[in-house]
Amino acid sequence: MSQPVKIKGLNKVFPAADQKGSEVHAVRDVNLFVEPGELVTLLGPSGCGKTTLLRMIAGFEEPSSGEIYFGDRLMNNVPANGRDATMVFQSYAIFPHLDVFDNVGFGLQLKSISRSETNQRIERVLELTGLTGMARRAPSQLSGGQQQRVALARAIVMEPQVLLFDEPLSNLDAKLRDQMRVEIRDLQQRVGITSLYVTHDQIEAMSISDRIVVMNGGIIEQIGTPSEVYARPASRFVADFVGRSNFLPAIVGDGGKLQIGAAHLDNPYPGDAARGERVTVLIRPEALHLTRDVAALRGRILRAMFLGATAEYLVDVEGIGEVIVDQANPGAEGLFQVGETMGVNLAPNAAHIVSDTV
Amino acid sequence: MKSDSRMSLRILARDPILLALVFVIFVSIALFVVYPLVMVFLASFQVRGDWTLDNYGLMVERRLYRTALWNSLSVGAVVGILGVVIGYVAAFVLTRLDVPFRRTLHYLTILPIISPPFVSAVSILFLFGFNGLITRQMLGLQDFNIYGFHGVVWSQVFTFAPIAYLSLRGVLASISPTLEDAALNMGASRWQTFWKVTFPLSLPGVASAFLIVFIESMADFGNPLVLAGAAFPMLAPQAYLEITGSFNLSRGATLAVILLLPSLTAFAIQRYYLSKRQYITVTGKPSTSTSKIVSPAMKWLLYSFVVLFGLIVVLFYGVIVVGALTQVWGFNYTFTLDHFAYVFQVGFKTVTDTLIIAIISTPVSGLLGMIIAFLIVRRQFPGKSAMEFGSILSYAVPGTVVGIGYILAFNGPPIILTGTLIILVLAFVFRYVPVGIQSGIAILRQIDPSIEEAAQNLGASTLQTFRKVTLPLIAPAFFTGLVYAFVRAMTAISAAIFLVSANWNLMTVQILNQVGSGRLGVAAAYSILVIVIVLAAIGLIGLFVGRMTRHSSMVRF
Repeated sequence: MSQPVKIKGLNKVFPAADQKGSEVHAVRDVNLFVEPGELVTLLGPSGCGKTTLLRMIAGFEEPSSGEIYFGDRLMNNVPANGRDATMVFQSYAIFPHLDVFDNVGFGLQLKSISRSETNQRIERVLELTGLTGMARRAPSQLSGGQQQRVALARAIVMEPQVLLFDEPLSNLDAKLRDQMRVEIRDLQQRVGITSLYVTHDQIEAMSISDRIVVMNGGIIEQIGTPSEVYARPASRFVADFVGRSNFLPAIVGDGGKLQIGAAHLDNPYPGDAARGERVTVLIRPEALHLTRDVAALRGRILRAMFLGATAEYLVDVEGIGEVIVDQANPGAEGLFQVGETMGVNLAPNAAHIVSDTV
Repeated sequence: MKSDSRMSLRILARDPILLALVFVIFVSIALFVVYPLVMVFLASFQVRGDWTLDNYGLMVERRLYRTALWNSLSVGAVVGILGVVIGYVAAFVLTRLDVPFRRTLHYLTILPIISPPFVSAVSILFLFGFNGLITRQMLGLQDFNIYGFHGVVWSQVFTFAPIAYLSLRGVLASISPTLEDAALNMGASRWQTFWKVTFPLSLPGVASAFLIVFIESMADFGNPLVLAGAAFPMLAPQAYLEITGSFNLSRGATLAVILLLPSLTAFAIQRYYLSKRQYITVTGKPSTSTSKIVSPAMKWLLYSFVVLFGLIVVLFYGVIVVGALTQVWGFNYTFTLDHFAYVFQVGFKTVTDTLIIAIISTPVSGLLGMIIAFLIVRRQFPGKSAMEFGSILSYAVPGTVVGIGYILAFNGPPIILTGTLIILVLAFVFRYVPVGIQSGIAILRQIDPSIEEAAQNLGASTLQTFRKVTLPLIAPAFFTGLVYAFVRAMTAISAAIFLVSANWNLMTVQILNQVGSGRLGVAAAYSILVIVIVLAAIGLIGLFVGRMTRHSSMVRF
């Protein structure tokens, strides 16, 4: 049932809106292979082309060039209503004139399936999405989270080849978003349908995906598992977009060991940078640790913020410059004061060399 | 650009039904909107088959035609101004002020829109004519003459002010009262607030309403025919007289072209200039706050003005009812059913003819309007803006021009339709479809396109999407389109009068004949029957559309 999705050399150029404007190259030479049953997230800032890519897969936009396959079948000339790739819309797009049952059953009722089977499938999916007992409610009587579930139920009841999600959680409040994220991941695992999921929220992407595709300016910057993308971003853009970053100047020393300011890292860097080369390294704020003890680096605290689970410090490190430090469990040691001079420790394997371009 | 249209053609080719639909609509617009107009233009440059400018030479030379043009333009301008003043006051009072009987006054104010074209003219004759109730019997005037400029103007103001009211109502309702509150808060007086905030914001709407009334007045046929009189020629009736009186088709066509030009100009200004300058302060939820910019004295003054208009409506219709039920107006007020008996015995075929034509053209026009609106807003295909223009063009074309165009176009090969039912139905469908299209487009633009995408995404074809999702969502526009098509089919005269025949005749034409032969009582009886049928039909259409879209009333966008 579930099919791999293969995208080859896909481009989308939107014509200029008027005489003065220029055309927009929304998606550029995208190649992607999504395994059957895999959930892949398209992550990027607004205008990066992720939604356009999704809409081309759904058949709502026409590619300027390139090919889209579901399994071995070329989909380019298949109209949107024949693609069998159901979508959960950002606005939910629930039919306002139909009740929950008819919304969920809309697609099945168009097919030549017996009424009893249709009803069974609807009932089953309503149960799966926690909507039992709401079948006859009008959409206007539903809360945001319930509407979200109807949109989800409507998509999976079709048992499609591919499931598409277009920022499905962006209209929910933070608490509900966390909860629905877990539910969607759970449901996707259970039904095992190949899924593409568009979001601009990196936490959402990391928590839900098998793999993440980071996009910027219509181009894929990196494809990788959440931990790969976080720990070894392919570019400065990816590093900055996925999580918070300190970019520090470093020199490659003997045996590939990095030297950052006065600190020499013990572990050799696995990359292939030449000795003596000046590079930029990424160090995540949580890989830095402030201490009252003597350490390789020293810095003065410029700003201190208590955030509960962590404390965030802005520290001016001697010979390096300003860095952000996330200190875990600040309750244990108390908040350090602005103006204090502290030792700064680097976690092992903390540094990752980034290039400014892909 | 070229690759765009090639791409949209490619997409279209994948959906044969859509492709066929677009093709059929293009062909019908070309055939039934554009082709007749072209024939009018061609005929205006011909005399007995020879190409010439003689017709236009005559227009300049003859005083009759020059006067007719001047009269039509000046009546249009005066009716436009008066109509907008009445419409503005009524819209302001009924949308912004907290006054009693707002609903009743609203319905009274728009009642003239659904009446047959001669109601106000006949009422004016009953009240102010040679045997008029007011002029002769109450004031004892012997030589008062209602015919001419003032007669036409009063009758048209009564007929068209409601249109200005409806248009301005939307404009005033969309201006957020908080803007007025803000001005008052910054120290502006009420008068300053009105002139510096409310009025400027509504100005594009005012100009637009003026042009709409101007177009209606230029195109109006019924009122001038009854009330202009021989000494006050006007373009629309003159074109009719040239054709039916002196069988001079080419001169009628020339007058039609002259009639068409100011209307098209006004339409172009209204559509391509003003409509882009409407200020709409959408806040999402309709504001119920009432305006604080009028003093209580002013409020009741304005209110009494609106009540006065309502009372005039009641008076005009009351007069028609009395006229239909009494022997001879002005001489013998004894009760009688003779006029209705005449309608049901002698003239009943006209009633059934009219009903058949209206019943056929209403659903066709209503559905076509929704389909065209759907295609224009939601589908990409080459020539889309041409389709939009062509399909709403007929709104700006006076009925007289359409009527002349249809006889010129369909009187001979390749398509012969004169004297048939089809020609009347086609004229009505394409003439009255623009209102449905416009309101369909307006509503559809406010609906999130992903709702229809969702239907497609779940496997619905274009037709299924339209029938199961789009149409229920735009039900209010569908209702408007159906009602408008039916009302106009029941009350139209200007185009239809050229197209009726012994086989297929219309009640409005009958009313005109009765007025022409002085049987005002029978005319009044016909008018009442038309109004009753129209009101019943509006109720039925409302029920039908309501059933079709049971659930949508639960949802407010």
